[in-house]
Amino acid sequence: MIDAPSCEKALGEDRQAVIGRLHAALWALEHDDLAGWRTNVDALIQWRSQPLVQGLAKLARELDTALGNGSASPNASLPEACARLEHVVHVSEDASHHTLDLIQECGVLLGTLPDAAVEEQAATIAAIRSRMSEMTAAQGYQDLTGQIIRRVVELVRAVHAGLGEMTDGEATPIHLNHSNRGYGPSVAGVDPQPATQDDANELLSSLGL
Amino acid sequence: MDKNIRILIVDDFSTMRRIVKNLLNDLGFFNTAEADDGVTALVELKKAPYDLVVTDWNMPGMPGIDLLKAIRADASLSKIPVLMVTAEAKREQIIEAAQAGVNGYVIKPFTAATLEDKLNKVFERLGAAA
Repeated sequence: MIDAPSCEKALGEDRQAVIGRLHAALWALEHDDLAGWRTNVDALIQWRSQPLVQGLAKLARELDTALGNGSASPNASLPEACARLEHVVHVSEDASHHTLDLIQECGVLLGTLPDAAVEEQAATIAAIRSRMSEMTAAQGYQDLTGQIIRRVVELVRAVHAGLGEMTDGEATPIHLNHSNRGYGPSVAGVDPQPATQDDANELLSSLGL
Repeated sequence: MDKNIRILIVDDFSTMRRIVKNLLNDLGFFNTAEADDGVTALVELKKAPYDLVVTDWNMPGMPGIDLLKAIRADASLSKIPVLMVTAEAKREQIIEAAQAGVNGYVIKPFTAATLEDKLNKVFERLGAAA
């Protein structure tokens, strides 16, 4: 960061130059010399922003060291954070597939039962099958949470890359490339209220679908 | 409804492909194939005739909305009904999909009953149009 003593030192060294620039800028303004006004004001802005830019570059280097390669804290680097999040996606994917295996096995087991002799038994088996279908659909949580986690991973990678670019002296704004890919699931309290299935039905119906 | 129709399931998450496949199986549809994004889906669609595409929107490579537009722009594929099953739930996205020629739109998370209802509606309209 830019500390006060260094600012004061810089001010002392450049005091005369700044006074000269200010006088020149004022003189140019009073005499309708727009080019002179701009030149002197630009010089003042450059002088003022120099410590800020240097401070930001130093901050970016420190952040890159602390978070980028984890040398400051071995378990807290940005790449490792991404790896942990991706591990969560894999673990939940495996658990979801295991649940789907068990649901399918239950379906096979139900099929081995002898034909229901009474109507109530047949109705119970149909009700169990219907609930197994809903259990299958409910495993969709893995896709939704996975999409959200991948979006965070993408953001963390963009921050990491952005820090690298800042320390390399390039000022590229951090951004996510999405184009037409979509936004992923809405998160309550972060994203705008999403459309419900009923909203979508109404909207499509109004469009003739 | 002919239960032998060939259905292509497109989603980048293997879990979701399996969920949609299992739910289709529960409804009696067993003739399915899978693709993990729009590019591989188009390759699959060119290889064999399909009667229905069930696709996600948000996928790396080619997203579902671009797949839908590519299907509608290709004379040999343009008549295939497309059901979008997606977490994308912005009003403008639903309108964009409708304008691109989607046949149904299911918002994730969905229930087995909702998927069945939307499939039936797609088939009903196709039956009425035929």
